[in-house]
Amino acid sequence: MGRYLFQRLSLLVPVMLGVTLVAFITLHLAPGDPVRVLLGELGQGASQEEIARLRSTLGLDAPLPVQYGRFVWRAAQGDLGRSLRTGAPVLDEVLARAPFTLVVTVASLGIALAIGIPAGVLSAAYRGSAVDHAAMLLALMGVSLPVFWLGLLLMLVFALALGWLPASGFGTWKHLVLPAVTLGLASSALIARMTRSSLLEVLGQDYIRTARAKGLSGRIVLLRHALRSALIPIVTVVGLQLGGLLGGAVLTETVFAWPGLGRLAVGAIYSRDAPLVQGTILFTAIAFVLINLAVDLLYAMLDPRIRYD
Amino acid sequence: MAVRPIMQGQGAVSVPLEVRTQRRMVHMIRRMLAGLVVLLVLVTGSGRSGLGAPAPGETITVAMQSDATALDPHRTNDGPSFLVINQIFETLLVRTARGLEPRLATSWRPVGDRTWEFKLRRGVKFHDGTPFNAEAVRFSIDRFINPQSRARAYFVLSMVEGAKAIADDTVQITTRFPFAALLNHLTHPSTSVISPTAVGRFGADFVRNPVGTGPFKFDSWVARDRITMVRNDDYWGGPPQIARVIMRPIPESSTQIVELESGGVDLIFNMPADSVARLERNPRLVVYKEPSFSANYIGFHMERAPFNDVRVRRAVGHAVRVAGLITFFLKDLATQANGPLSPVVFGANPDLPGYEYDLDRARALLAEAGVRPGLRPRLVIFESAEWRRVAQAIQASLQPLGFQVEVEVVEFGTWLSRLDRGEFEMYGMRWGTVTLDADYTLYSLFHSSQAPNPNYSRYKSPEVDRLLDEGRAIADQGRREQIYRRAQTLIVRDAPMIFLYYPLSTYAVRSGIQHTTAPFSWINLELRKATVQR
Repeated sequence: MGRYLFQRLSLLVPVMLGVTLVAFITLHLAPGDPVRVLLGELGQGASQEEIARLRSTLGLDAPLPVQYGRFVWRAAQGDLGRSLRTGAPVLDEVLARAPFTLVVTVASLGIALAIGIPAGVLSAAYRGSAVDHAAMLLALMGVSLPVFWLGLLLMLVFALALGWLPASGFGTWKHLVLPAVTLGLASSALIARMTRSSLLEVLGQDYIRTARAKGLSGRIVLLRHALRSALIPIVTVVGLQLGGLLGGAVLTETVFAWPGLGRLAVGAIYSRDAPLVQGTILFTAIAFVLINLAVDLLYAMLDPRIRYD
Repeated sequence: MAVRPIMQGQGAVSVPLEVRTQRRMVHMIRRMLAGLVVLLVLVTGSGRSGLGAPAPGETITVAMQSDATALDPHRTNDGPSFLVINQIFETLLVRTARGLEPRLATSWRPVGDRTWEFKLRRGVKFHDGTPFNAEAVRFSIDRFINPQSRARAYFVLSMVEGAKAIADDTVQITTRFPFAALLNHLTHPSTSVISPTAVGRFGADFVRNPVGTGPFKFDSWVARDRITMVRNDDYWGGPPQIARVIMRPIPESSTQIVELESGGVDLIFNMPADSVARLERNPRLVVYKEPSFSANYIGFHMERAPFNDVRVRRAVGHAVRVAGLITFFLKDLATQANGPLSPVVFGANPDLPGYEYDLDRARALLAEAGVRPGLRPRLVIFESAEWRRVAQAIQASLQPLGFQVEVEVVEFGTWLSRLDRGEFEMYGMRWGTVTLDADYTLYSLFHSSQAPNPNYSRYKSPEVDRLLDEGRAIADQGRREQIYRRAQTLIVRDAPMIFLYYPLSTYAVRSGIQHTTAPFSWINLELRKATVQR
């Protein structure tokens, strides 16, 4: 187990090098001069000499391999550099934003599980009934609605028409409701469908018949025996969803002015803020690898036949 | 990569449950849930930080498109930062509709042809108690032009050689060459006077601890959520009525509108044209539309066919019906342009003829130039709802002339590099005359030394060059005005671009909030005299 963990964690290094290199190259292949973007519309009057001067003070006039080498060398010492735009240390920016995205992601995952699993179980238990059809229709809608549109709709209803919840920003648990629900609804739909199909598959298996034959009640068979096996593919989906939620957070954070990583990354890309883009990508990649690892370890807990030693 | 379990197929051997794993699982889930609860309590509980006891009185909450990047005037050059900086800091002079007016300087006079002398307001203190004086001005200017400072807006004072404190209330600023527009440049928020003591104390952290002389003092900054400022009770112009100003970055304009309508914020800027009418109908809101220092142009690549021929450029000018574009596409949130400068800019020529809508004249010009139908010029614009509409209007206007305009929409950074490299026949551009002086725009866009950027049209006219050089070098403002008017006449005649419209600067406020102004741009929002009745 320890060896396996070590192997998986040592994978982080090439992954990190890979993603930052790709990010670095893409960012520099993208047309547009970071210094000019930095000056923006209010700085269009800067002459070429003035721009060149700013470029050299920002260290952006060095050859690209040198710039990347500098980045790796400093990153290895825990220094992710400073944001071109704000001058603040990248690590501070990323660490300050991460909890917000984490909270919204975890809350939306909680909502997704709380809606998705019961809906899936009901659908499977009453397969073909009106309940099943209604749940699956809702799930189809949940998957199809764009997050952006859904978010604005919820905001119009609950913030403007009813005045129950704040429209945007953060500060109280009330601020969390709309972004988390917006993000959770789409996931819940997927989880419901996954739960249903995976349960139906398990319910057809021999040991379930054996359990029923032993005279266990239908409810116990369903929730104790079948659901546990059915959870395995759901864990996979949840793991993938977690990654997806980090991505979905970009739109949700934008609509609800939620100060998370998603908005940080988008802003950084738009303003060609290379150090900040590298930092957010590094962080997200590490989060991804760790989530994957957690999912794999969860399998072992759920299915004793899986061993990692 | 990850070890994935092999899914068991139908009829696989079943395995009896192990009670131990089950317990462990339940335990795990409980622990995870407990952790989640703790996390939620932690983060949502610590939502508000850095707020002291609320000052008595009213709060105004302002929405901005994005967060400020730095609150050090020398370290930034973006609208949201200037919006905040303008509440905390002050410049020596300000530009109003009446012209140049004193702010921290009370009077000024030229000394020789490269030096200006300023008398300073007495008895002014920075928020940290440091007295405001000639030494503080000298310190600010020297820090701004020092390469070590990496001033983002260095171009605003790049012509300054240095500053000298003559007496406690007298300072002299010298330029490297005679430069008459200096006074206007000293109205730019990046030239705000900063507290030398605070810079010494905070060093690089001054960007997050700004100290100026303005009507509001910096209180706290929660990145990407809010910047809070409180009333400066010792403000030299008398304390503002508003006790607290909060600026919140809300990137999505639909969200801004919902926040304004539901009372979450009190003031929003630059609403989409389609929502203005709706907001105007709302009795709880007031919409302001004011002239701005910006202008929107369609420029031409003057070194490449077909627009290397002045007749073809003029034909385009006669083919676009700007009045219709403003009514239907921009919902009257702009005024028709007759030249490169918005009328609020010093030196703008009000008597320019502009290009009348006249398709026959346009066709005749094209025939004269020998242009056949079927050309496919590229029009490069940057991504924005407004530019998409304008580009469509241009496309439709040029169809009758036989041009099939290919619109290419790219993001801002790409757009800049396309213009630098000359990969276009036409380009759409919005330009703000941030210093409110003709020199800033005319020199950048039409002086041959500034090609290919920012003179993207590659316009080269010896006569215009000479006028622009002269307009910079002389101090007599009356004569400068004449020179710039002449230059604009020549520029409109040569049509390196067609001048479409001057966008209005719009903002919507909750009714009950009065005496707010935003002269020429939303970044100049002034709340020093604002009053609130809720």
